[in-house]
Amino acid sequence: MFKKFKVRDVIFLAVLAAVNTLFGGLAMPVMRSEIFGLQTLVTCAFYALFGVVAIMKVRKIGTLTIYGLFTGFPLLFMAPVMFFNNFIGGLLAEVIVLLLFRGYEKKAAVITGAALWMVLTVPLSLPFSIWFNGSSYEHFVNTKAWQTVVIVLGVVALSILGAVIGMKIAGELQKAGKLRPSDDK
Amino acid sequence: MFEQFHARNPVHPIAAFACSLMALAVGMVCARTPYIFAYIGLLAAVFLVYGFYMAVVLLTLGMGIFGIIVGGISALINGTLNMFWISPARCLLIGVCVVPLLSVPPAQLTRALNQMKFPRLLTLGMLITIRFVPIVFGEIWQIRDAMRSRGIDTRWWSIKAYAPKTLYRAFLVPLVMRVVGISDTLSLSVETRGFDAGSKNATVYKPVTLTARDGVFIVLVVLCGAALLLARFIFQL
Repeated sequence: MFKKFKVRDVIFLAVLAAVNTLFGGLAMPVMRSEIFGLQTLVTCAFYALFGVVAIMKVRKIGTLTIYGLFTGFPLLFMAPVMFFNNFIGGLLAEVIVLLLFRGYEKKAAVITGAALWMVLTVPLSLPFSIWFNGSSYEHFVNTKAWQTVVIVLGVVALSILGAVIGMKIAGELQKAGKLRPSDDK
Repeated sequence: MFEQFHARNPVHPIAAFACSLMALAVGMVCARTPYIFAYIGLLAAVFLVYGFYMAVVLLTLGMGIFGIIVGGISALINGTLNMFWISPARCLLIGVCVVPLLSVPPAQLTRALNQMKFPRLLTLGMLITIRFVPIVFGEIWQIRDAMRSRGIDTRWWSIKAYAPKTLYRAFLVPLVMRVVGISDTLSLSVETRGFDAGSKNATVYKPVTLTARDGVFIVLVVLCGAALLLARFIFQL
């Protein structure tokens, strides 16, 4: 069930995480927005897309956690709290996928894992949002409940869309022999 | 990626990480007191003494301007200037708190993690992620050039460049292809140089040690935080 990671697996995940970091920059203009979860909404499709590509190439348990660690690492230097957001999100998504599918053999498991990752960062970013904007938890729940619901639904929809597009790209590249799973010789 | 911020003599990476987190946490707890500016000033002074000039100047300027703009927009929306200062304060705080981390070269951080027996594969990956951001950025520009040579208007305001079909076929697919190509070449290169996931007898080039200078740095940051907490909670300033 558990397979050892090779150097080439980690390098692929790291380079892909660098791409993801660049797309994460799309959230910069809305970083100070008081709309809870807007930052995730802007970037979730790209994170899910590249997350699927990562898992399709490295189909090993732990891929999403490591990918979360790598994508979070550059954020450590800019906003340390965001690092934990990405890393813990990846870890939790991976645990849920393991419980539901017991691995990444099925395409549904890959899509679920990558989409869940970003969805899970939304509740994880609540403390960050409260800190950053100086709001209270009650403020989010009582006065912005509808807004939060819309944003969360948007994150779910865009994450799934991103994951499906990622699966399409990965499928095409695998068909062309360019994105072989790492254990194939 | 952050070369311009790196200090000639940075503090121990783990100390920098701990101090950044601690300074940010204390600052956020007391973010609504006007004394936050004194706290930011004290932290900036400590960082300047430690030689993090570039990071302090650029980040305080950049984040300060950003905070003023955001605060201005909030004031316009809310119709009052009462709490205008909170946004610049928060932005400045975040800018100043990441200074110690930004001044540490990533290689130093990975060396420190290696010394702490952190898995070598993960430290390698983290280093690659940081180092490859500019390279991947260059690749994206090349893909953009390729799109232009095929007749796609790639100016950022051009709606055609963002058409889903164009984005998918001419941008995302080539980008993933390039990532696969780059990572394959890099893996070959790393393995050729003898880097192996299983090797346990690896040594650390230029080990990073905790010095008295780092100890004084930690104490100074703790004192800044303690002063703010005292002002906020004990003396109710």
